[in-house]
Formats: sequence, C-alpha cells, structure tokens
Amino acid sequence: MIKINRRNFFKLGAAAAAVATTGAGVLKAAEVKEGGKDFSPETGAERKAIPTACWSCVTRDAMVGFVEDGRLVKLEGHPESIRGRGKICSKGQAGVNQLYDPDRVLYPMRRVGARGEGKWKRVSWDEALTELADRLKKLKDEGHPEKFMFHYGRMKGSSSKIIKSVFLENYGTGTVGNHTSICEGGKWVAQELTWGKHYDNWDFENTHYVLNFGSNVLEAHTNSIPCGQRLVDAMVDRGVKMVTFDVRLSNTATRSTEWVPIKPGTDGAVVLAMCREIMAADLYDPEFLPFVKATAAADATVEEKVAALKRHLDGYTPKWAEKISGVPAEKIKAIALEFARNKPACVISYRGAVAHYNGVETERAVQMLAAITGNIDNPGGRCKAVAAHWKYPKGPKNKPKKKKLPILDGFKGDIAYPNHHANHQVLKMIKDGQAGRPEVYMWYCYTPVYANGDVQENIDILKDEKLLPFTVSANAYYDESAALADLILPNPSYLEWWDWEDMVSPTQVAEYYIRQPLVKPLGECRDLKDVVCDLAERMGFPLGFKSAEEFVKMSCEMTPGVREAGGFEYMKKHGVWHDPKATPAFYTYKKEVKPEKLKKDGVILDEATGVYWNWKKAHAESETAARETGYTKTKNAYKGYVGQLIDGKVYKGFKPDKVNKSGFLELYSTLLEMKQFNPLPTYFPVPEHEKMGTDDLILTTYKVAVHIHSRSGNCKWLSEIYHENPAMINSRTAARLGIKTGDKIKLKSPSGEIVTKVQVVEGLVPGVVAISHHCGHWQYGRYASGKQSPQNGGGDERDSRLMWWDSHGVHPNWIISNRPDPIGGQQCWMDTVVNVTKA
Amino acid sequence: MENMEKREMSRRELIKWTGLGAAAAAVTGVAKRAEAAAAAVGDKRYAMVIDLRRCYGCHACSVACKSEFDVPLGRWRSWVKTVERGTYPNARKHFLPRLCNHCKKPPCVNVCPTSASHIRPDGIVDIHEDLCIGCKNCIAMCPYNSRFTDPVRKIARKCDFCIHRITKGIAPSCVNTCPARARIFGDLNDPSTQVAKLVKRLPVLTLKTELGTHPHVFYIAADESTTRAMGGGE
Amino acid sequence: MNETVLYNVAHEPAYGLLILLYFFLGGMSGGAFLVSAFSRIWGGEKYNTITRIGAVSALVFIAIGGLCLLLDLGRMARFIYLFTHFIVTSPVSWGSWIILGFSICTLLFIYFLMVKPDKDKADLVSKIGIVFAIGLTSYTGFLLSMGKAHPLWHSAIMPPLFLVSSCISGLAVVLLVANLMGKKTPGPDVTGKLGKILIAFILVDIFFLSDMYVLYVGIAEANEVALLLLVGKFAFLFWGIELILGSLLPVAILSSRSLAVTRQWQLIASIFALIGVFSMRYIFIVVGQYLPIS
Ligand SMILES: Nc1nc2c(c(=O)[nH]1)N[C@H]1C(S)=C(S)[C@@H](COP(=O)(O)OP(=O)(O)OC[C@H]3O[C@@H](n4cnc5c(=O)[nH]c(N)nc54)[C@H](O)[C@@H]3O)O[C@H]1N2
Ligand SMILES: Nc1nc2c(c(=O)[nH]1)N[C@H]1C(S)=C(S)[C@@H](COP(=O)(O)OP(=O)(O)OC[C@H]3O[C@@H](n4cnc5c(=O)[nH]c(N)nc54)[C@H](O)[C@@H]3O)O[C@H]1N2
Ligand code: SF4
Ligand code: SF4
Ligand code: SF4
Ligand code: SF4
Ligand code: SF4
Ligand SMILES: [Mo]
Repeated sequence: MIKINRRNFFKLGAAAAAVATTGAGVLKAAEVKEGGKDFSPETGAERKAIPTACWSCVTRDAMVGFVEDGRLVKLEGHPESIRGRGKICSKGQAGVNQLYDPDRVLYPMRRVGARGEGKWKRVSWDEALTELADRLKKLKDEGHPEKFMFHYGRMKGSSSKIIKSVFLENYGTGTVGNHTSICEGGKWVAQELTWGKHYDNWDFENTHYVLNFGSNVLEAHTNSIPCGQRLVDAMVDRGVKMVTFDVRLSNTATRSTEWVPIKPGTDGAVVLAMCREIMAADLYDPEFLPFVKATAAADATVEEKVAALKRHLDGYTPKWAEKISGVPAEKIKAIALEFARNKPACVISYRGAVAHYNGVETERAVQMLAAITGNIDNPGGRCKAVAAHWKYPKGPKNKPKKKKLPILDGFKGDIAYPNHHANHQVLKMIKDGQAGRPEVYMWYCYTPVYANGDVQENIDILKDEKLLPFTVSANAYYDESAALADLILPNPSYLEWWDWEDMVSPTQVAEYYIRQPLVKPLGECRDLKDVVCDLAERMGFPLGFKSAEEFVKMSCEMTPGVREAGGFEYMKKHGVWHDPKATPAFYTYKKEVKPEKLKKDGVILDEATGVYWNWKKAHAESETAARETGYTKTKNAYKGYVGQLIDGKVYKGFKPDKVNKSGFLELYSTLLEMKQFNPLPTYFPVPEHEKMGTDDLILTTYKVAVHIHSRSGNCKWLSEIYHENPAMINSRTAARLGIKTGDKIKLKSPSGEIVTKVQVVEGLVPGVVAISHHCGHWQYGRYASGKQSPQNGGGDERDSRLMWWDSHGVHPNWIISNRPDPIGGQQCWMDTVVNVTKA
Repeated sequence: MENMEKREMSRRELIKWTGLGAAAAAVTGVAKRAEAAAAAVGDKRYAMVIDLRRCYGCHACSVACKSEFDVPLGRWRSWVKTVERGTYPNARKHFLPRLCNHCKKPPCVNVCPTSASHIRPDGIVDIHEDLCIGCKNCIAMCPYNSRFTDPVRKIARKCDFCIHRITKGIAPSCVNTCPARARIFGDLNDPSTQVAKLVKRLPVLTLKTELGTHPHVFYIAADESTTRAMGGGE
Repeated sequence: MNETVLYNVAHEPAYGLLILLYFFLGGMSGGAFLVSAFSRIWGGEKYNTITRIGAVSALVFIAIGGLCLLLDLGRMARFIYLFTHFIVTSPVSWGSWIILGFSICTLLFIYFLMVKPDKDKADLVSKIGIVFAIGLTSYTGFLLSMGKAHPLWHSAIMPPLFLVSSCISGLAVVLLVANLMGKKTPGPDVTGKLGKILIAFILVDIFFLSDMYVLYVGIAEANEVALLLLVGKFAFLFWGIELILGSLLPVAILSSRSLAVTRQWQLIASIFALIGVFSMRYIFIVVGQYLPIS
C-alpha cells in the first residue's frame, strides 16, 4: 500500500487544508449512515431505540439507548441533537455499566452497627420514609426547617427544579449546599463580576484562533462533546491555530498547535502581560470598549478607558511574567499579538486557570483579554451561554419563608463573594459548630468524603454522631460517603429516571431535550424526585405533581415551542427539540432597551453606575431608600436590573446575576473595590508557592478522558482502561530526586501523606507532580476498589470473574487541604505544596 | 444454543464436504447471514481511515465497541495505544486507535485449519463462529494482536467491521461514536466515498506494511514510532 | 528522543503450556520414529531393540502430544473439523493430517514389527512413516515461521531447526530408555553410536543458534528479543540451560572416551539433551510471545 515517508508526511500540513476529512453530517448515498439504529450482532434483530440524555458528566448530551430483550445494551449519541450531533464519549458509552453495576444499591438500608461499621439491615421504603418524614416534619413543626441540610453535587435541569425550587423551598430550608466551589466556582464568580452570567460558550465554529488557559476541553470540560468535536473541526478542517497553556501535556495540549507549559497558578501573570502588549500596540477594539467599564466613572470615554487600562497594565511586562510563569517573554508577546490580530479569536479557560488561590483574578484577566480585543459574545469569540428556558410547575402558591444555617459560605470574612457557596468549608463549619449544625444531613449525587480535600477530616466529622445526629444518602451506589450514612435510599441510575434538560448549546441556539427511563428501575430503586413528592405528601404539603414524569410532562405542555411541536408525546418520541427558525444569539448586550420598559412602575436610574433598575422588583423598601442606598449597595438590586445607560442610549448590556454589578462588562469592579481588592484584574501569587523547599513539588490534580470524578470507578469498561493513577513527574525533576518510573514515593503535606507509584514523563512542567483524582476508591464496588457492596446488587456476572486488575490507585485528596480563594471561595485544588521522598 | 449450532454446522459441513455448497444453499434457501450479505456486496472493499490529526485519544471508540458486542474484560476488538514522545517542552502524545486491519493477505486466514477464518467478498476478514475449533493459531499468527479467545464460547473473535450494522447501512459502532470524526468507514472501491478519496489524496500509512499483509485500515498522519511494536519500549 | 508508552493493552499469549508440551512431545515422537526407522534401515539386527524402543516411544509420545493438542482446543468436540478440511496454506491443517498419518504409520509399524511381524510391510510403513515424521518434526517450525510479527519465529531456519532438535530429543529419549532396559540394554557399541549421532545433531543445532546474531543485528523488535535472551530476563535459560547444560555438556560427556560408553553418563547426557530441547521449545513459545507485538 501507500507507504508514507518522512517527506510527504510533512507535506500533510498543506494537503490538509485541501482535503478536510469530514464535514459533520455530510452524507452521500454511497456512505453508511452515522447512526440512529443498532442491531444485535448475534441475531441481527433491530434493537429498540429510546431517546434520552447522558448524565455521566455535566455536559448531559442527548443520547439514544438501545434495548434488547428488556435490557439496555448500547448507548449512542442522538443523531438529531444540535449539540452533540450524534456523538458521545467513553463515559457516555459506559453508562450501560452504571445501570448494571453488580454492586448497585437496590433496597433501602438502615444502619445497625456503629456509624461507618458497615452493618446494615434491609428496610422497606415505607419504614425508611416514615422515619425520614417524621424527623423532617418535627424540625419543620418546631420552626427549624433549616436544620435539615440537603447537599447535592450534580442536580441540574428538572431535578434541580423539583427538588430544590419546589420541594426544599416548600419545606422551608435554605440550608442547601452544592458542589460548585470544589468545581469551577471561582470562574463563575469572576464571570458574574465581569459580564454577569456565570457560564460562557466558546464559538469554535466561527473562530479563527483559540487561546487556552487551563481548559482540557477535549478530555474534560463541562460542555465536552459538543465543544470538543467543533474544536477538532476548526483545527483540522479550517486550519485554526490553537495555543494551550497547561502545566501538563493534556490531550487537548497535544492536539493544540502549540503547548505552552506554565508554572501552576501563574496564568494570571501571563494573561495580564498579554493584555499589556495588546494595549501597548493599540490593538484593542474601540467598538467594544464603550461597553466596558475600565474606570470608576460610569461615563468614561473610550480614550479615558484606554488610558486607564494602559496605566494599570504598564507594570505587567512580559519579562515580569516570564519570571513568574516560566513562559518566555517573546512567546507571551508573540501570542498576544497573534491573538489580537486574528479576529474573531476565542480565549478559553477552565479549572486549570481558576482552581487556585488567585483563580478569580486570573479569570477576570482572561475576560479582560477577550474584552479589549472585542472577542465577547461575537461569532467566533467567547459568548454568553444560550440554553433552553423550560416553563415548569412551581408547586404550592404559599411558600414558607425559608430559613438557613449560615454554614454554606465559609467562615466569616474568608470569602468576599461566595456566590456559589464554599462547599468544602461546610463540614469544617459543622465541626466548628458556632453557626449551628444540621440535625438531618442528607446528600445526593455528591460524595462529601471523597470529592473534597482533607478526606480524613471529612470522615471523622461524618462519623461523629454528636456533630451530625442523622445522615442520609440518596444513592445508586455504595460510595465512601454512603458507607457513613444512617439511611441509604436506593436511587436509580440516570438511565432509569425522567428529566427535562437545558445544557448550554455550542451553537448559540437553545436545545430542549429530555431524559427518559430506558428500563424500569432495578430492584426497589426510586428516583429521589419521586420520593420528594411522596415525602411532601406525607408532611402535608403536596407539590401538585406526583412524580418526575408528571412534572416533565407538565413542563412539556407549558413550554412554548415544545408545546406546539407536540409536547410530551413529541419529546418522548424524539428526545430533542430546537426552534428551527432560531438564529444564533450573539451581541445580545448591544440590544437597546425599549423606552416603555424604562417607564415601567419602579424603574429608576442609578446615577453612579448608569443602571436602570426596578427597585420594586428588587424588593427595596421604598423608592427613596432605593435612591439613597443606590443600586450597588441595595441588597439584591441586581434582580431589578433593566438596562445600562451608555452614551445616552440604554442597552440591555451585560445583565448582572447574583451580585449588583452594572450592565457594563466590568473590568473595573466597584464590588471588589468595596471589599478592598484592586478593582482592575491583578496578579497575586499563591502564598504557599512563595516558600517552597528543595524537595517540595506542587501537586496538581486533573481529569482523564475516561473517568468522571469518582463516580465512574464502578464502570468496568472505564476502570479496565484506567484504574491506576501514578504520580507523573517530569524527567528532570525525577532525576533531581533520584526517582524513576515504577518507584514508590511518599507525598507529604500538612493534611497528611500518601504513597504511590511514579511515572516519569516529559509532558509536565518540572517541579510539579500530577495525580488524577479518579482513583483510590476504598468502596464503590468491585470494579472501583475490589470490594463488593453490602448488597452485592446484581450479584455475580461474567465480567466480575474476568476482572484482571487488582490495583486501584491512590486518591490525592487525602493530602489536599480545603482552602477557599479569598474572592470567590473556590477550593484551591491545584496549589498544594507536597514534600516528595522515595518510599 | 450449543446444540443448535452443532446441528447447523454439521449440515453445513456436509454440504461443503460433498462439494454442493452453493447449489444446496440456494436450493434449501438457508444461506447463512454472512454468505447472504457477501453475495450482495461482492464488488465492495470495505476499509477504514483513521485520521490521527483529528483523534484525541478519548477511547470512546473502544468502549463503544465493548458495548456493541459486550466484549469480555481483558479482551479487545479495539483499543487506543498512547505513546508520549519527545523531550520537554517539545513532547507530544501520539494516539493509535487499533482494530483488525482486515488484511488482504491475512496470516490469520492462511493459518486457520478449518476455514473458519475467511475473507468475505467485500474484503472483511470474518470468522465463521460455528466452524471455529478454538485452536488459537490465528491469534498467534496475527501480526497485530487483533484477535482473542472468547472466554465463554472459547472461539476466536475480533473486530468484524460491525458487519451487522454496515450491511444495514449503519456505520460501525466505533465510527458512530468518535467525537473527532477521526474514524471514517466506507467502500474503497467506490471512488465517491470519503475513504476512497482520503486514501487517494492524502499520504496514508498502514501498520507493518513491510510484512505484506496489506491492511485495510489506513492511518493519516501516523507517528511511525508509535505504530511499531516497540514504540516507546515496554 | 524519549518515548513512553502511556497506554496499551496486554494480550494473553495464544500458545500456552499444552502447546509447549505438544511441541516438545510431538517433536520427540517424530524424532524417535526417525531413530527407529533409520536404525532398522542402516543398523541391522543389532539395532532391533533400538528400533522397537523408538517405535513405541513414538507412539506413546504422539498419543500424549496429540492429547495435549486436543485438550488445548477451545471446542474439543469440533476437532473433527480438522479432518473435514484440508487448507493448503495452513501448517496446522497439514500438521493435523500429518499427525493422523504419522500415528497410523507408527501403529502399523509396531504391529508389523512386534504383533504380527511382517518385514515387507514394516519396511513399507516405515518408509511412509519417515516422510510423515519429517513433516511432523518440521511443520511446527513452518507454523511458527508464519508468525511474521515475532522476530524469533519469523525465520526460514525454523523448519530445519525444529527437525534437528526433534532428532536430538528422539535420539536422547531412545538412548535414555535403552539405558533403562536392564539386561536388554544394547551393548555400548550401539548406544555409543547413538551418542555419536546425538553429538552431530547437537552440533548442528548449536550452529543454528547463530541465528541469535541475526536477531541481534536485526530490526528493533528483533534486537529486543535477542537482548532478552542474550543478556536479559531469559539469559540464564538460554546460556545456562539450553546451551551449556542442554548442548555443550552432553557433547562433552558423549565425546569423552571413558564416559561416553558408561550407562550412567549416557543417561545423564540424554537427560541433559532432553532438557536442552525442552528449553529450546520453551524459549520459542514463551519468549517468542513475551514481547508486545503491537
Ligand atoms: N472526562 C471527564 N470530563 C469531565 C469531568 C470528569 O471528571 N471527567 N468533569 C466535568 C466537570 S464537573 C468539570 S468542572 C469539568 C472540568 O474541566 P477542565 O477544567 O477542563 O478539567 P480539569 O482537569 O479540572 O483541569 C483542566 C486542566 O488544567 C490544568 N492545570 C492545572 N493547573 C494549571 C495551571 O495553573 N495553569 C494552567 N494553564 N493549567 C493548569 C490541568 O493539567 C488540566 O489539564 O470537566 C467536566 N468533564
Ligand atoms: N483533587 C481533586 N478533587 C476534585 C476535582 C479535581 O479536579 N481534583 N474536581 C472537582 C470537581 S470539578 C467536581 S464537580 C467534584 C465532583 O464531586 P462529586 O459531585 O461529589 O463527585 P462525583 O464523583 O461526580 O459523584 C458523587 C457521587 O454521586 C453518586 N452517583 C453517581 N451516579 C449516581 C446516580 O445515578 N444517582 C445517584 N443518586 N447518585 C449517583 C455516586 O455515589 C458518587 O459517589 O469533585 C471535585 N474534586
Ligand atoms: S461528555 Fe460524555 S459523559 Fe459527558 S454527557 Fe457527554 S457523553 Fe455523557
Ligand atoms: S489484522 Fe490480524 S486478524 Fe485482522 S485480518 Fe490482519 S492478520 Fe487477520
Ligand atoms: S481459532 Fe478458530 S478461527 Fe482461529 S485458526 Fe483456529 S479454527 Fe481458525
Ligand atoms: S468496526 Fe465494529 S468491531 Fe471493529 S473496532 Fe469498530 S466497533 Fe469494534
Ligand atoms: S473515538 Fe475517535 S478521537 Fe476518540 S480515541 Fe477513538 S478514534 Fe480517537
Ligand atoms: Mo466540576
């Protein structure tokens, strides 16, 4: 056959542009269809196709499940989904394993021995719910609903609405925790402080250049499959250049045109230096700057803004950034200019940039880079997320006034804007006790023990019946946290429940889609959404719908567009819907607010910020009070935001969320200024990194393509590929420490120590040790830890005999401490300094 | 199941033995699935192109394959070899998604003592499961480690280009799921297909070309070192 | 240039213990038959015992070896398909028919030799048997040489190498048994002669080991295997067992005037030679499949 030699190998680059491998969805008669059907390889019979949606990671791609003889055998991407375009990843495929995990929890279990001892008795649902409802009702009746703490990890779409907005609201507790601060909370806070909404979309379909700070968009990312495939299209079919800054050679980095290794926690310095070079070269976008706030004044001219930015950035030279980050100054400059000249360009960032002590500032700097070059909300740039807007039944009319324990946002004074709470501080605060303690602590789709740092402390607190009298886990699996519960409510896997979904679309056109059960729940599993309907009924406040299915059905009939397309029946059959006439939403900030909206009752202009807001909607006391206190300082004023006055016109602008930001894209943040931070994005180093010893390395943790956090360890097809997470160390560092591949090392930090094996690599910054956070289970079933669950759910299966690995890696979170960043409360995952010795 | 298989086989064997294969099959109308399909696709030459400019080593393909066939643990029809090459900071990862090469001159077929392993007229190298005695010689002789013994049925198995899908007009499972669209499948004999165009217009590499097996899985932009057995040492 | 395999899968080796045993026993059986047949053709009366020992050993070992092959089949009951097909390109197919033919010849040979002696018929079957025996001892070599991706296998010397080493094991086992026959043990002139022939075969075999050099200077994969044997994990097996214990020592013993004719030393030499051949088979099966090929 055609054998390639080195010369024509290099010619590929040129040929590439001419022969794009595939355009998505382009099919000729001669070709096979990409999907939509599946057949049994044994009998050839067609498998039954049911549209649904993935939930393994937060991307939640639309899928099709194929069922044979009542058993789910295969999952594929939904070919009609405009987001996923028929694609799913390895974790999506391995959903089959989530459903048929032989170690699933199939019956309610009540602890019988000491907490954590592992002794259980099977109870009926009625027993379980009677006990739980009694306890909850008692708290509610005593006027302390807040002593019921509900803590969730992933709860999106209709799940969030049913459980949080309807059930918990009507119960009356505000002590509702999430996991955002251990995820990407810092990024969200930074975006809320700058452009208002928490989430961004990267328009790879139209971009000419991609600049990446700490996003592993191809392997991880919160919108992975939809964005990843479009990024590959851009790079290969259109020759778009991509530069990735990462401490590791991630798969994204290796696929990028260039990988720029960077010292952990220093991206902010590089980004600021880039901004400086762009401003200095006058490559800023004067058309966009009117929408930017760059000075204290709301009416500054573009010239004043440019001058202010130049002044602020002047000290951040590439040379300075080089010393901090290890990235050569010329490179910083060259990339900056290239980025500014290749419009539209898209700067992307994720946890590598933000899961640091200085992460919010880094993310704000990234927003600045996009803003000064006008790559905001434009085709090919960094866009405001567009998602489905479902209408849904809101439950009983008269909600009680909710109460909450002040344990969600970290210790007083630690965090300036804990918009998304400080999940990793919750257990510490419970231990501390000063802000009160919940009497019933229930968690769902979340593993408090394992997902946070300081694992040992988490275990100690959860085990302590004096601190937490009653613990409940609603779970499909026997994870490390469920092992410390008093009551386990068996939840089905996501392949057995109902939802409507609304994850962000990469094309700026909203997609409406649903998740429907592919098979009946196994054993006695009951969807928590159905269970809360039951609980509410038992406690005397029926929610107005009896099940998640009914809720989804009602939502389908209520939601414009979906309703006209055929409502619930349509969605059951097709799974996905989008408005065929919709055009991608760009430049929404440029829309002018209709004059009549400004004349509405309660709308006033805040002179200081130029914000038109409705003081009534914001629930201010009175107009006078509102005017006196002003928009910025009135509690929840943002809820009344109407528009932003810019050069005499009122624009929709960048609508605030969670905080009282103006309608500008705020590079200059009055809110931060109020909290004694520099209003413009700055760089400050990670404190621990300033005082490191010679045998100290910076520990970084990351995600691999084939696992989702801890939750996929039970998937045999994934754990077969990845069940060990050796500590990666650069060969230079390894040589310095006298370590080679296969050696055992001890990593020590103030939180504890772990021993693990070493893999020496080249694709990692020297001075860093990288350990993924997917392994090291000590529960979670045979495929994750070698240990069966107490119920041994589905019993024996062929593959449990064929399982060939007996090593399960080491969890790094034992030695990472729970510390919030000072602005947003983000857990500083990637900052840990560890002392490394041979073990 | 076992019994049924045996019965079917002995009839089939008898037919072969007496040299009446084709005629008998036509008369009795009991041509096997594979044969029926083969008859219709004689002018085809199925092939796969794997574009390594696109592949980002996500393993979706191999897991999709596991699921499609419920491939047992420890056995693979498809996997993604990953090699890191270069010296910091100029290191790169190289991915090599693997599957049966559907060789034109396959040692696995040559060595098979019962003709269980065979080449279909459409170029797919397949195994008559009912003829396989589980002698493992094809496994030993395949230069690409593409085969394994089914631990339950004790016969040889491997990637079959998802015959059960493609004969019904649906892409192989791994192709279907590949988010990068790095796997492209089609008929090499039809110049209008993607695979035909790619193989014609871009430099492609096949694995161990020097062995003369003539693989029909073509790689675009493959790293030669990665394709070698010793790529990266042990 | 640094290279690290970050991910690859490990495949279970296709050939296991049973195949190893068969390779050893089948070869030994063919070798023993050749010793038997040729001692009858060239040796005359004096060699009667040798002929008988050879024939019976051949039968016993092919029976056990065949059983190993059968047991190794995933679908034992389907072994019959081996004989409903003849695949020209398949050494395994050839081998199956050869085993069948060889077994029949050996049986008949023994029958016409010992049960119902018939010189002419014995002559005839022994001659046909020789053809089958040569096939039997060399087809395994043909088979392995088809393994293109295994540098240790993929070589034209495989068939003669297997033939020669089979002869070594055949000679050794006949010598061994002969020395265990007590009073019936043929005289030292006969056993000594066998010993001399054994030396010759071992020397040829040692000559074949130069193939290691070819491997050593070969492509990366070949070099890797050579290193494994010459200095790596299997160096002791190769140098210590196969070469010194299994080849050089028997040669030394059997060429020593005083030792070559004593019973104990003949026993020792033949056992050593058998160990040598077994380790050679072991090396080809185990080491041959030790390194990843993809
Ligand atoms: N496969 C997979 N996909 C997932 C998930 C999963 O668990 N597995 N989880 C989902 C969830 S909840 C989330 S939040 C997203 C997270 O998606 P990402 O944020 O993209 O993924 P992470 O691995 O957390 O971090 C991204 C990269 O940051 C790098 N990094 C670490 N420190 C630094 C630094 O200081 N500077 C720079 N430039 N880079 C650094 C890491 O090496 C890593 O490659 O992924 C989602 N998708
Ligand atoms: N060191 C380190 N730690 C990290 C990260 C990191 O990068 N480094 N990443 C962080 C990030 S981004 C995040 S988002 C968090 C995630 O933290 P979590 O959300 O807590 O972790 P998961 O592993 O996704 O899932 C938690 C639990 O959900 C349960 N579960 C899984 N499927 C189902 C189901 O179908 N039904 C029910 N009821 N329960 C189910 C499982 O029992 C599992 O233990 O982890 C964080 N932890
Ligand atoms: S990216 Fe993968 S795991 Fe996440 S939703 Fe999509 S298919 Fe599921
Ligand atoms: S790759 Fe191996 S199994 Fe597939 S056709 Fe070629 S030799 Fe046969
Ligand atoms: S294992 Fe089956 S397919 Fe392979 S060579 Fe033997 S009979 Fe043929
Ligand atoms: S073509 Fe089918 S059998 Fe072959 S690797 Fe792909 S999914 Fe597996
Ligand atoms: S699915 Fe596609 S991108 Fe992923 S590893 Fe396989 S070939 Fe590569
Ligand atoms: Mo996350």
